[in-house]
Amino acid sequence: MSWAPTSRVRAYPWLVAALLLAALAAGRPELAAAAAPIAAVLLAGLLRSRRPRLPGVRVSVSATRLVEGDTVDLTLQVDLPAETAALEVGVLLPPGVEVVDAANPGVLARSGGPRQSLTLPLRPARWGAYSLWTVHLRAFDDFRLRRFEARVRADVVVRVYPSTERLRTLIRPLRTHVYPGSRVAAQKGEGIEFADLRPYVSGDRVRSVNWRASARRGELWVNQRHPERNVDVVLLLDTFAQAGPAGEGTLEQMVRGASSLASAWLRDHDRVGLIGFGGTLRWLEVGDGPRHAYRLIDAFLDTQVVLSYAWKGVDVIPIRLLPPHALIVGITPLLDRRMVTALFDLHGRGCDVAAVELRPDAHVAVPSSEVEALARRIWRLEREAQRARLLQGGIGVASWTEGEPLEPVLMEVEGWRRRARLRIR
Amino acid sequence: MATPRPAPHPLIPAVGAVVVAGVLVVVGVLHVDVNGENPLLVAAIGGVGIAGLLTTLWAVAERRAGRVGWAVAVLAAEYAISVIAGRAALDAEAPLVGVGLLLVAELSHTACEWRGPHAVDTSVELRRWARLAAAGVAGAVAGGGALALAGSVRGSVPGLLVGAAGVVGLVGLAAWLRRSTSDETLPAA
Repeated sequence: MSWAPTSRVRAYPWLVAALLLAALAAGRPELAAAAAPIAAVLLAGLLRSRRPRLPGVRVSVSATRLVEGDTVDLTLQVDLPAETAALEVGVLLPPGVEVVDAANPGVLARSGGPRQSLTLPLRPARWGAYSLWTVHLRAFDDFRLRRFEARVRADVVVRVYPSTERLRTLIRPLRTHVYPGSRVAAQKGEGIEFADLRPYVSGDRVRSVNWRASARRGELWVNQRHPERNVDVVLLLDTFAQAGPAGEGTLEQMVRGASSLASAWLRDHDRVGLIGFGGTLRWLEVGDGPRHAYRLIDAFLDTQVVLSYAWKGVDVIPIRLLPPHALIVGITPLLDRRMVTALFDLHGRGCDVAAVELRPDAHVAVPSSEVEALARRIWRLEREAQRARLLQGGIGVASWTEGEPLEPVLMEVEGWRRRARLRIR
Repeated sequence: MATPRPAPHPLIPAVGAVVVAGVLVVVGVLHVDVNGENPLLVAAIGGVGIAGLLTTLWAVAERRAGRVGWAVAVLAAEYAISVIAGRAALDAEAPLVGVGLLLVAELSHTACEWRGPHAVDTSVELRRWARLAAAGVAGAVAGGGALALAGSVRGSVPGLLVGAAGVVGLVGLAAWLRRSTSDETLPAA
């Protein structure tokens, strides 16, 4: 352990020396006698002071994955050396993590045993991956003349998933995939939803015969049904720019929305993929199942805005990331024109595209002058024009304000798509 | 899990330090043997003492451990002035004044270093105070012995040499301690 003198050691020798010097200069032994108790403490302390061995520290957490608002117990198991009477143990927490009803630093006394543990309930304030926790150890000698310190690095990573909104209404893709799922396909086949009637042909199952229609027409007619299929959805996250400070801005809102959407689609056995479209391109191919859900949310946690002035179009997106018939949902604050262009390009290539606009108004400063108010009005009008362009181009879009539920926004997009009777070329 | 026993509130050592500093100021003024012939000297000594008291108060109020040394130094200066300028006879209570200075320093440091009720274990603190008391009493006894010896052989050459060597040694020690800190380690758990 490293050591450093405390403020006592910085003061006591000078004090004793000054009194001794005054005693010598003035010929008054009382001043030397007055210095004697402090000198005795200094002498005894320095003679008894020994550098302690580094205590063994093991760090563990009760969970490495948790949802926002949950607490995680960080347990420090410390092997106290025999020469350490008491050890202060503190954890240097990453920003955004707070200790819940516990002392940090805490103190472990040797009288409690050679091996002791200290548990700190921690609560991360927001989603994210928290890593590299540092444990700070501090001990003093018998007279608190020297301070011994060490830092122990604990490679613990805790992933905090954003709390998701439970969505019952989702945007319905125009076309389904070939695998079984829970979306009613437009095609006819084996399923539950009634689709049409047709004359009986050899090989049809008897249970498919519509006896009422057959009796009316004098020949056998069978029911046709819509099969239930799954869909492919690609979430296209706009990571070109964000409004608001880190942890509170549109990026935060985007990750929450994307998590809610991904969870809802995966719950319905659909396949979900992710493209982070911004300064850097990040992606995760479509997939389904609980393992893919974890992969997706881990990818959301790593989502960040990377500033870039390079022009980026959809041609930089690998073609395999956009499966045929996939619904592409762009989640964007509409702050960067490159994202709008990309949405139009995708739509122009025959993809089924919808968009959720993240309203950045709450993160824009209140105008303090007439000029600023005018600028804000122009900015709002430009945004409205962009929204109108998307709608005119056949891309359903609705605005989502932070703090409000996402489901009405999806219902608005879905309603617009139904009304527009969008057709993919 | 070990539950640390909460330490007493820092107000207790802080008040203790100020009270002891006040006693030292009064003792310093009372030691002046001028019989009212030089009230200016009494006022000067009292002024230095009050400055020491205020410095102590300032240090513990703002919890700045670095100022404690200055507070104790001013209190010691008050005593030194009262001994040198205001008293002819040998002061037999000097070791007790030394204990008082030690007490002010330790109580003030304790008040300044308080970082919460669970950051200090009471039993460990009690053991430290017991050791401090033992060392302080031993120092006071040694100081009393030295004082008795100095009364008989006042101004002797060996005494002067020992004192000078002590001063040089302490200054060297202070300089070494001020400069020396070891490298910090960052091992993995």
